[in-house]
Amino acid sequence: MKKENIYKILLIGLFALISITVPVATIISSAQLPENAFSENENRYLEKMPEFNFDTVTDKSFMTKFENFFADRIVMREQWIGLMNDFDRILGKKEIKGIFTEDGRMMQSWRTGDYSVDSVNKNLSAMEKFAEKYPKIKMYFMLAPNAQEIYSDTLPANCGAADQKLFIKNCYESLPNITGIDVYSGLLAAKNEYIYYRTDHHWTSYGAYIGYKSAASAMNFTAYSEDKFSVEHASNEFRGTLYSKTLDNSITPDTIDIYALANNEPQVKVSVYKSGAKPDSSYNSLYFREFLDVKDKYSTFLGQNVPRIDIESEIPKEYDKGNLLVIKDSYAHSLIPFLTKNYSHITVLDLRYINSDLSNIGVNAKDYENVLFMYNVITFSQDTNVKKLDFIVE
Amino acid sequence: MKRQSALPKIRQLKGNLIMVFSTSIFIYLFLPITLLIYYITPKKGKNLIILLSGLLFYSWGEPIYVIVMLISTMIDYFAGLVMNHFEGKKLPRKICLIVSVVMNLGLLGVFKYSGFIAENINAIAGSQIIDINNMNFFGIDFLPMNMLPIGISFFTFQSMSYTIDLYMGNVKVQKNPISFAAFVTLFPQIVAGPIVRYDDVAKELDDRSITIDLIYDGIVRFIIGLSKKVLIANSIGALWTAVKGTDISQVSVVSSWLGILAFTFQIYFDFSGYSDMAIGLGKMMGFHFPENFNYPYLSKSISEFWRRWHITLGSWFKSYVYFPLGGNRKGMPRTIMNLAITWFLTGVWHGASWNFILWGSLYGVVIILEKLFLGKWLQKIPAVFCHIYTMLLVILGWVLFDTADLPTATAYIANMFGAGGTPFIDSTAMYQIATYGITFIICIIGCTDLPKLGVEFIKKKIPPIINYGGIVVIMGMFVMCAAYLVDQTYNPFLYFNF
Repeated sequence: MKKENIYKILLIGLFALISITVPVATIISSAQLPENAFSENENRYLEKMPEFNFDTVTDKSFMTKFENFFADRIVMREQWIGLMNDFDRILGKKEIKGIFTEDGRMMQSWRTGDYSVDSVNKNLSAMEKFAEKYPKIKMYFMLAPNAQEIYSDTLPANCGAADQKLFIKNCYESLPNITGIDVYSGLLAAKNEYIYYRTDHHWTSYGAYIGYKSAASAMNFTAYSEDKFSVEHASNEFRGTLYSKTLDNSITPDTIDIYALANNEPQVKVSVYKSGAKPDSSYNSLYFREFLDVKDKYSTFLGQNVPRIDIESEIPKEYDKGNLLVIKDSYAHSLIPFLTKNYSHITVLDLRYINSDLSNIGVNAKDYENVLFMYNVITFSQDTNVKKLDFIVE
Repeated sequence: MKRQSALPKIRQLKGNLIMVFSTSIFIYLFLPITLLIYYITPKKGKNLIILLSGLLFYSWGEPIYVIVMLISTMIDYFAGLVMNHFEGKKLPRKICLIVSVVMNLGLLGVFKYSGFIAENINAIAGSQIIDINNMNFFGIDFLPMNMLPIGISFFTFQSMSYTIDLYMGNVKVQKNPISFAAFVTLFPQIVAGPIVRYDDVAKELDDRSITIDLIYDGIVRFIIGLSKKVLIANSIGALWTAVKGTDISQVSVVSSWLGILAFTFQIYFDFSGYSDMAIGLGKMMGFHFPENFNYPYLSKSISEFWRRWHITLGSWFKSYVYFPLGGNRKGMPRTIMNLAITWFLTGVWHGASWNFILWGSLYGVVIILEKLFLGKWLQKIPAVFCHIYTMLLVILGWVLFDTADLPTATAYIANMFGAGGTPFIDSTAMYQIATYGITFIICIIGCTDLPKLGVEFIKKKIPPIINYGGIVVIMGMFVMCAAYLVDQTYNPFLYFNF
């Protein structure tokens, strides 16, 4: 062998090494995965080994599924993707999979093209009709801005982020019979505090506390001041949904904070209704601590989204504002623990999971003195379920 | 009706149903296993491995139409044998040639153009004479419309080159059916070229040597091609997808230029990257495929552009259409007609749509003009104007090439020149510049010969930098490509739980 050829042999060897190691390691590592392996970061099951027969081959479904099967289980899959996202950033990409990462914080992008005005208007008119139908019930709407709005000064220039302040204002103005709660200015004033998760699309417990304080003046209850609460840092290893998309390990993981009244935290009974009018399970805590040990740590707050949750809390009469119906998205999960200090009976409905008449899940709007709609701007702008109010209420 | 075209197929590799070079199963399963078996198989059996691996490769994307390819191969093989049998007798040889050509063009006609022809017959007749979605041929209801067998434009042309060259006495007959089938099913070039003529690989089909030098060159070439496709073309292509997907009345003048420039780079890096991969894989297996691209965007005239772009297609049409028609030997009027026919057919080859026909024909017109007088003018003006003239026509050509129909193309071009009434620049355009600026710079440098000259320059001065540094760069690119390929199925499904 000629001496000057050594570098050629070296390159061939490396190419062969990678081309053989990756598939062999993939086969070994995927042999250890269960057939129905689940990807926590992607929140989905990995492709299963497809069936091989004449039909699946001729319609090519075998080939497609086999490609996905292999790519889903390739060794060090998430490291590969993190590497790719790093490279995209070097190339100047400002957002990865719709996520901006600026100033140590990941934020969803939200542009005017990301929602339909028409669909938002349908949601709003359904809410307004609902309010007109129950004139005796006091109705409130809390539309919380997202991190990208509060920290819009950190976003790349000209990125086209839509104006959430204007969006909120327009929504509130088209609902004359519902009181809009200004949570925007409170959050903006607290922008230097830890009000949004760095790796997740939700607000933090402290962000939700600001929501609680903002609600107090509009809903006419007395909010407990900050110093009445003790804060437990229940987990420092929360990597949320935005992390799942970017897999960017350079951002500090988040902290799950659990707030409780230092002296008189009320006893609660939480009933979870997954279907029907009878509770499927009940808890005596607002915090479902089993979720602290899994990826989806935000679900520590009242668990995952279900059609209905009921919360009874034993609070002193002088603080009790009676009962409250909350129609919400998942932002409400960290807000509601605060509201249980002032409302002894709260029913939480998630319209995205309800496809029937409300009586089927045992709720009658008439029984409530207060109704709170609680959404974040991005979810509300893209949600197509609020308009279900038209038909699911009797 | 969807357009049928050879080239856009290449651009849709991502997520397509074909096992193309840029998927993880190709790179991490098919290629290592095939090469391993190929290298350990003794010389005599290597063509059989090519045939079997090619059939597996092709059926992965076309489990049914692989039969079309096999039939085409068999007919050409036997046409060659019969032609050889009647050596010296003109008529039977001619019949064999006609059978082969008619069969290949017939396959192309049925699978690629029947829908388009039917559509136009309907349009002329003003009624649905032919039910496009349910076509019958000789009473057999067999053609699901829009099913264009992958690579049919390439393998029919390759296969035809054998019988035509054999008829003209340019090549010797191939008696070994496995060797001939291996030529057609040679997987590196089966899907998107280069159009390897039988003549190009005739010797190597029977006898080739695989050396360290060749494998080294092949790997480097393959990884460069893969990177062009995966790292550059896919990346810049996202911009064109975004611009094309926006209603033209919302696209600023600058954005419309950025969009079509993005496509200009995308199609070059995609297509030439694919050719590089094919040439590289060929080398790994001991073949020398013809080059397909030679820095086309450095051209100073359209005639030169087409000598540098998709070279194997241009030379195919030159050898088998232009020259047999008489080329430029029969006087100017005849030359012009021959050019017109050749360029009309080149447009048609690219896809069954008026856009492609117009696109090819317009190139024909410009080339005729260059032949008549424009070429002489171009030689007199400074080179920079020649480059501007050429690129402008090429870029406008790409609008025609990659928009849905003629009205869309016209509206797009109008918008590029400010006739669309949209603002010159807006915040979207500025964001696109900020986001894609670096990618554009890489594209501009990458489509010139500067990287090549730079490597040659350093190699002359300090060879180890290129030899050993090159290993780091090339393997780094390979790892990056692998990372992008993995991402093709990374789909966080998050909204469900929000």
